[in-house]
Parts: sequence; C-alpha cells; structure tokens
Amino acid sequence: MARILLIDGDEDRSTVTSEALGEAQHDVHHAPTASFALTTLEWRRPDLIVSRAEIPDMDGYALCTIVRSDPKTKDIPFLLLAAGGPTAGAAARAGVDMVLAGSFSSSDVVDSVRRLL
Amino acid sequence: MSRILVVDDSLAVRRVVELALEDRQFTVLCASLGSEATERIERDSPDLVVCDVFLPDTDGFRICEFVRSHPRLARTPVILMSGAADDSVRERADRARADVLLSKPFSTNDLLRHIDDLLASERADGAGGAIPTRPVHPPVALTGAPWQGDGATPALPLEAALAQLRAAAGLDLALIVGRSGDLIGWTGEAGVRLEMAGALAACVLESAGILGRELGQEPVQGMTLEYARGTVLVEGLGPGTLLAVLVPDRAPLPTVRYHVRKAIPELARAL
Repeated sequence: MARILLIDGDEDRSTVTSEALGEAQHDVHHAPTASFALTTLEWRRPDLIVSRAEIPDMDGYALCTIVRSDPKTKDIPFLLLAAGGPTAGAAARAGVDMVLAGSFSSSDVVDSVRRLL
Repeated sequence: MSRILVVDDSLAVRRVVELALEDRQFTVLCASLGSEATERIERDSPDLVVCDVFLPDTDGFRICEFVRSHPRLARTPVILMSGAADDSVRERADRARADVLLSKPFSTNDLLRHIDDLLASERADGAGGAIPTRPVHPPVALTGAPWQGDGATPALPLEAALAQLRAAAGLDLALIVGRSGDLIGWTGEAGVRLEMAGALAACVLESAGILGRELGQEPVQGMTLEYARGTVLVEGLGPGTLLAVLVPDRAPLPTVRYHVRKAIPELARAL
C-alpha cells in the first residue's frame, strides 16, 4: 500500500481515479490545485505523485519542476497524466518519471503506479 | 509595487507562493530561516510578510513579534502559515498579533485574497489618517517615553533583566548609561573600563543625533558600530538613558537586535 498524492482539478474525474487506486489498496490524498499539493507535501509526504498536466493554477510540468528542485521532495516518483499527445521533451526536462498520454483508463493509471513503486 | 517577504524552509512552498505573487506583479523576497527573515525585514522593509510558523532556527510567532516591536515596521501586515493550526497555534498567533493565520494546505487564491485585503487596509489607513484597527505598540524613541508594557507582570530588577538579555542574545557586555555618561547598570565581562565605555557611548550617540538633525532626519533611534572583532549596538531606553551592548563576532546580528528590542520595555520598567 502506498500513499499517493493525486492532483486533478476535475472533481468527478479525480473521484474515479481515487477509487481505482483505493481498490488497489493505496491511500489516496486529492489536491485540486498545484498550490494545495505543494503546501501539503511537507506535512504529508507521499510515496508517489500522480498529476494531470492541466491543472488550474500551474501545468503539471512546472509542478514537477518544483517538486524536483526541493531537496525534501526531489526523489518522489512522479506520474503525469496528459490529455494531449506525448510530450517526451517537456517531461524529461521537468523530471517526470512516466507519462500517460492521450486516452487511458483508470486501470492504466493503477498499472503505471504499480510499475513506478 | 508592493514588496512581500515569504519565509518558509520548504522550497516548494516558497516557489509556489513566489510564482503566484509574481503573476500579480508583486516584488517577492524570500527567506528560509528566521535569521535571514529578520535581516531582510531590517534591510528591505517589506510591505507585508508571509511566514511559516515552524522554522528551523525559530518560529513565525517570534518573527511576527520582531515586526511588531520594530520602530519603523510595526504596522507591517503579517500572515502566518501553519500545517497544524489548532487552538494553541491560533492563540499564540493572536498573542503575537499576526493579522491572519492561514492553514496549510491552501490555495494561492486564498493567500492572494488575504494579501489584497491587508494591503488595501494599510493604504486606507495611511491615506486617510484613519485610526488603525490593529493595536500597535508605540515605538521606543530616544526622545519619547518608553512603552511600559501592559504592566501585568511585575518588573524584574535591573540586574536580572540585563542578565536575561545577555543570556538570550549571547552578549559579551551590556551597559545602561545616563545621557551624561553615568553608569546605571551593567552585566558581562568586565575587562573594560565601564565608566569610560559608557561615557563614550553617550557622547557618540549625542553626536549621531546632531548628525541626524544636520541631515534632516528624525531623532536617532539607535546605532550600530562595527569593529574588527565585534559590534556595538546602542539603543535608547527613553529620555535620559541608553543601552549599549557588545556583540561578539560569532553572534547573528539580526537575532541579537531582535532580542535587544524585545528587552527594551522590560529594562525601561526596571529603571
């Protein structure tokens, strides 16, 4: 069981993803914005971060860049969920460990989390 | 353009707040330690301070108290942030006279809303000469009467108050001197001629006051004299008395200055 921080501005979609991860025995904490996520990290360090590329106050790549720049959080695995096409260059520059791009299901998310942990 | 100081030992928090503030055209200053924060407050006079309660070398309450006791910056709005904002933290924040206690996690929109409200309130107070709604301790000036505090606690004897200050600030020597240079009290290493040191401190402060008037400045509030192996701080305790302290080279000056200013009301009561 892992502690997962899920960052997604869409409440309905995040509920579906959280439930899928919960069924895989993970403990999921949801943050609707990047600022919520980043001000949570010092108090509730997750084992893995799952973030949408498109979030209300910052894009997921910028969020990952900040996570990677902080010595306290730089080693946390980061899974990016991108609605658009593959963005390998941006992901590599940001330090993202894995990108799920295009069309994918919540079970794809669960599988990717398992592979990263 | 308002300058906002952000104090948090978490780089992630500093960065996300910094980005949100820069988007709104604020000038952002950052610090990760309390000692850095007090230095920046002294040097850069921010228009508002956002500070985490838990810092590696101190806490946000002390930073807030430092601001509230500062002769120039006492009215600066302070927002404290805490990931454990329970009743005891709220009570402590109230005692430190923070304007806002913001619970973590928070969205930057919430933070920005508080900042906008506080800065608008400060501008309204300044422009219209309105009575401040937040109680502010009057500054301790050389020509004014010292703040006596709330009188709720009995005054320490002078020697005890000086010893307490010396221990808290890590001083080598602390003297209280009358304006004519007479030695009223002291604590510390007595390897110097105390009466001579006191008389010279009074003389130098008098000269600083004359220089200030020549330059069109307000009455001198205090002096900092830097030497090769230490620093001397001189602060007014009220009409007719001054405090001179010898700070060893190893001591962090902003922290020492904070302890000295915090001790001034106690010392004034003890006189």
